Amino acid sequence: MTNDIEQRTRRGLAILAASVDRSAPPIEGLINRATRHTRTRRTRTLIACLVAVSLSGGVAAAVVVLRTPPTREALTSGTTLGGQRISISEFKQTLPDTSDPSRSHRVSGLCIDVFGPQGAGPSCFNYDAISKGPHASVFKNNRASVNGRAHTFTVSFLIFKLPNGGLSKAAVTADNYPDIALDYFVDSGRRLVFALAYSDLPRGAGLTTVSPRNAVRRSHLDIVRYPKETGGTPR
Amino acid sequence: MSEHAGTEEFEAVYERLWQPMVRLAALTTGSTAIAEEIVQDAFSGLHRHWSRVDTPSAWVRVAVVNQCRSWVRRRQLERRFALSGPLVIEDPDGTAVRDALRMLTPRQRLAVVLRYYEDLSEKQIADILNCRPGTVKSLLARSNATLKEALR
Repeated sequence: MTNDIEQRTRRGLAILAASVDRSAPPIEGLINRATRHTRTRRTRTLIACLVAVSLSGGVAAAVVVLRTPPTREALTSGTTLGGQRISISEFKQTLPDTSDPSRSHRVSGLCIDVFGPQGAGPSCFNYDAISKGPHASVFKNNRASVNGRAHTFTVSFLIFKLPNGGLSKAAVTADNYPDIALDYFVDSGRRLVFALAYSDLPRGAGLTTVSPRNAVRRSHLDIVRYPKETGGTPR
Repeated sequence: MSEHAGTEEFEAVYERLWQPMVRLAALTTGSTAIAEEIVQDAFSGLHRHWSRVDTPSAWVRVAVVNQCRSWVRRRQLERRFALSGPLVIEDPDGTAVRDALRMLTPRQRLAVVLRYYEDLSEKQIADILNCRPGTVKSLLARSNATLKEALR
């Protein structure tokens, strides 16, 4: 590389790097996440794997178990309950303004777990469970068709993690979201959290859509399954 | 690292390395949001392995680089949608280099960023990328040719 090009590259990289001006988020979130991850998920995964292998004698069963969502303890041990409730209208206000890509970040601190009934399309979602379960959520790798695309996700009700650390929840009727799409945000602790957004969001609206399984894997969020207790998502 | 061990030291490392690592990841991925996520993951890993890590800065750098590479691999699904938080630059040099970086392969981009931003030697880059120094030379040579063309 000629000196000139090298210098320009170095200078350009320095300018690009300087444009990234982000202070470190509170370390508590990181430590909570790291310890919770270690304490629950890894242990749970190991135990589940051992049990599955020992019971079935096969690796396939272990894989199935590993894909099963974690238990309630994982969520309760790692989160604080008792946050203020948030209404649907308030929630809607937090949805990204498609005309302003930067607004998507204003929902920092919002945590939403998304799940729903098996094989349901957007019109079949049942959000009644919201009033019955304490904060449990359900996640299962079901398929739903949204906008003609097959999505491996299910949606039932939402859990909000508020900026003050509390959790709240609200129901959202599917009719309000005819073209539901799963998008994610990162909360103030830089944990990946979920949000629902209209699928007609323009590209570049500041959102990245990923499969929920992928999102869950990346987020280390605890997704728990309580179909009966929460009033049920049919299985 | 146990849950309670070395919190002060860890906090110091966290405060010191957060921004540089975010910058490194942002240069590699082209997205600040993704970079922060990657760095958060790296620090989360560092926290778990704290008691076994001799050189936290090197450990985090390798973790960040590896996660950037992983991110590139799993980007296929996300590529259908726009990336969140792309680097927005007004400086012409910054813009030119940003666009030039996009013309590189992910591995070449990593090599360029590690060489010209992190100022690492070819040997150090080889250690991070887990390849031979000769491979790094080759990566840089090809990258430089592309950059020369793009920045002409």
